[in-house]
Amino acid sequence: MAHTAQVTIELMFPSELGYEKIARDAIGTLATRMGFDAERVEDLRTALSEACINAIEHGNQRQSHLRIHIACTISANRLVIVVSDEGLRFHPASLNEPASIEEKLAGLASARGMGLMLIGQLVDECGFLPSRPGQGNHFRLAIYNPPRRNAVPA
Amino acid sequence: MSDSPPPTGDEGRVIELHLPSRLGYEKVAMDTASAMAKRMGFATDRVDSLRTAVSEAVTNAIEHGNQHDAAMKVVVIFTGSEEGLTIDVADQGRKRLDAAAIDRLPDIHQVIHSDNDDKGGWGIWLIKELMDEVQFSVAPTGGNQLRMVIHLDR
Amino acid sequence: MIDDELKVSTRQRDGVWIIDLEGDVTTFAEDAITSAYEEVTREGAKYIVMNSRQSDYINSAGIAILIGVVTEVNRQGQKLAISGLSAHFQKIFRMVGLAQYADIYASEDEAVSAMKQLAAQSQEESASA
Repeated sequence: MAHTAQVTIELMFPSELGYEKIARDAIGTLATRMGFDAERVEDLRTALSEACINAIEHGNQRQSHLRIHIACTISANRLVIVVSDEGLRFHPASLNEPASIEEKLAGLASARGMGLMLIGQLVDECGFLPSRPGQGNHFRLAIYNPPRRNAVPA
Repeated sequence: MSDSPPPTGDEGRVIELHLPSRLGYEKVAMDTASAMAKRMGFATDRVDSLRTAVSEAVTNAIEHGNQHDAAMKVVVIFTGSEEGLTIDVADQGRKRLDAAAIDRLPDIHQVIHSDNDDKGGWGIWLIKELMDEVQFSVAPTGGNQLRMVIHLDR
Repeated sequence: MIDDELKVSTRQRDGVWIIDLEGDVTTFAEDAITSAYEEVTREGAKYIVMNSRQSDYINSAGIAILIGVVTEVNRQGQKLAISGLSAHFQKIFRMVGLAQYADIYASEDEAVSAMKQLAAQSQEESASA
């Protein structure tokens, strides 16, 4: 088959804990089929779970009628995943942005920070995409084949 | 799936997958179906049957309903319940599935002794053999829709 | 990308030709499988084993390709056995009726020894004739 334009697959599910496991299995297998090795697939599975849980718990506040939307864009050497929530609680922060006072008071900062820090160590690229209140939160993560983890930032 | 979220209608508790109409991507539906079925407690042989049925249904949607037009989507909706798993596969209906294709009963002896080089046409028959319920209808989008149900405890 | 990767190779074992299939057997497998079959036929293969290794995805298009091979095997007066299928695909092949035209064995060893037996029988028959 010709390697033509990149292809996008979308997966949507309710904001209920448990569904992220299906996403993790399905997209982990997709990465395997794309040729990523077992260790990188495990890394991706963990990173994706963390991103989904964050979207379910934080972005959508576990309102199960709100959807989590995952878009996987596949190209020859790269898998890009954007996990979007409906932004009930909006968080435009980049990874490096310190937690807000409210978050610290609510005890959210440490748990969330841990998840995001972990994701950062497991994938080649990650971070929130620019967005405004009302547009939802969109967290992007990407893995490359071969990896770019140690690449010098441009 | 986990601790009690706010009540929602069952229609909200679905996983929805959108795929491009390109052969190979039916595998993503197959893997999503088996991820869900395994977690729902289906036995291995039932999961295998489901994998084959789902891949055949999506392949049919790609090849027949959407005529390989990669821009056309195949929508797969997975609905889990206590009784089992319902999977709807919808295409955008560039070509309508006719009754002859649905009711076709291929015969190996005829196929092997025929000079016709096309030895195919087993897909829909296989789905009907492997699943507990199969229904053909028109999708909300106007395309072909195939609903298959696999029961738990069988 | 998630395109199929099927490796097809051929080898001989005790006078039996083996076609190894490693990977997905779908519509994309047609050229590889057909040309492997033609290759062993050119080599004079009478007894052939189609040996599936780690094929966890065989679909109806792949089955159609194998039916095409069986059709040709019948015409050529060859014998075909199929080995290495998972329990699920053994079941599918029986449902489709392929098992009536090609014996299905769990392992390559079983398939090869069955084929050797067939070859010995046919030799005896032709000797006594």
